[in-house]
Amino acid sequence: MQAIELRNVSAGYSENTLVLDNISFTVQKGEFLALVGPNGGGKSTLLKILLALLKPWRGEALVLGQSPLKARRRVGYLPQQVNIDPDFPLTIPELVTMGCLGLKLSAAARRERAQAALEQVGLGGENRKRLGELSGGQRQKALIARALAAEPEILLLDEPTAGLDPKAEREFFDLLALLHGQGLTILVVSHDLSFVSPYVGKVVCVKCQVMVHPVGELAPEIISHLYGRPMRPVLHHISGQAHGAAPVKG
Amino acid sequence: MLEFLQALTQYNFLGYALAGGLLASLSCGVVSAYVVSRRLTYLAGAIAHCVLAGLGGARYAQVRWGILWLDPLYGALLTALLAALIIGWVSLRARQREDSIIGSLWALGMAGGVLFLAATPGYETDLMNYLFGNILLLDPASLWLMLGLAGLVLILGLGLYPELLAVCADEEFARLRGLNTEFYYLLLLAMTSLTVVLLSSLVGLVLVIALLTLPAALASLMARRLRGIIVISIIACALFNFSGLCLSYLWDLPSGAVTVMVAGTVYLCALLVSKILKTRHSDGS
Repeated sequence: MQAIELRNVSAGYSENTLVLDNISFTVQKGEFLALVGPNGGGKSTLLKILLALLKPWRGEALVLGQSPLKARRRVGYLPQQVNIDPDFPLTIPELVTMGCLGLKLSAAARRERAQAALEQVGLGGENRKRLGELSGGQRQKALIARALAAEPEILLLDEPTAGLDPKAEREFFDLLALLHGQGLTILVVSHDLSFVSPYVGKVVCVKCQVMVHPVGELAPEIISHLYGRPMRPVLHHISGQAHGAAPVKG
Repeated sequence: MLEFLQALTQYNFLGYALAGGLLASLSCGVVSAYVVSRRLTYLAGAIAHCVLAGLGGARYAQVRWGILWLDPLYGALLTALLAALIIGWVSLRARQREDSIIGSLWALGMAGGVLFLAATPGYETDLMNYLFGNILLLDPASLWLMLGLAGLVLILGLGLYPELLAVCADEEFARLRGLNTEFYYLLLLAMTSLTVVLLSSLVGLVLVIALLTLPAALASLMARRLRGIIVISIIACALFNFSGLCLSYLWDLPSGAVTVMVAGTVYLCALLVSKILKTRHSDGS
């Protein structure tokens, strides 16, 4: 079964700004993909289409066989920036309970789900803290727990590790790998191809159009073509394979 | 204190005043928690000042055109709801110009009210009562209306707690979960407008903003969750109204101003104590 299907989708924000041009690709259930590409390439636009925040100009987008609008309660989402006031009177369990919005559940069932999601991400003991009182890595875990509370079938993450130190970043992706192992379909937008490649099965390169590659096929020529300038491969610290890319200096 | 309690048993108007204060505290506690947490104080202030146009218009219609059933409270209710919808719409759709448009509505509401009242006999007494409140003028009919409004706000504020909490804390996420966030935002402003009308009888339009912020600001120093802030705000608001009424009776002072002075003083003292405790705690750790 396909989790995501895009057929000849074109989209943009005004008549003169075509961001995605006739893209087609599918994501099977249970896959773990990375969405990479240069700034302005259309990664966030693609996510907006999948979250029903933007309608394509042409073509069709399907999420779990439905329109993105109908499927949005079956999708968990972690935005790049969360606009929650750090002083807002909201404890972590309450934040996670918000994930159950729109589901017909009793208050007790919502609390149970929230607690289970918090334990799943390793924050089961954080009952009194607010979001602003957590470290960067813990904050992202709490937000993942909020997405998991709705028991989604797909998880969409937009640059989830931006601003995290390498240790927190690794812990976060280990958590995603664990969730993927439990059958969750995950699509993560990342600027850090070298970091995500050992975790994901496929890389979707977005630069107005898309190219889908299994991670083993990511040759330097493909990466350079994607970023529009010479790039050199980076040996990754975990797998030892040439998965990453960095600009060629000089 | 004993003197005040004895007076309560002797004079009906004091009993009505106390009942009005306690009823208003229910909706004030709920709404002020949302208003302070979502930082809507400026919008609440604009709604409060627009209400004067409705009060003045209804009073004018009563005196000049003989429409006696049109109580100024009805005019206030209509204008408050209308102002909430307009201000909410501006806040949602014209964010770049939000402060100047809302500032204009704020001033226009006040000016309209003053002009209506200036054209009405008894101008000065009415204006002072509306601006600074006169809780001793409450009668049983007003209390029934206040009971209805307070009950409605309480039911909405507590019954829709998960939705209102989500819209106040993270509007984008609430929208992605399928919530009609604009509806809940406008509903919150409508609840604020009803509470403004309730409080205007107690402390007047000028001082309404104090009771819409101080109880929740005080509660924020003690509670970590919005639910806790609501409960403490209701209790604090009721205590402020009771002590304000009591002191104003004993010292023969305007009750609205005394209530706000009590609330402000308690808040500032609590803030000071909280800062001292935090400093000691951080020095100790």
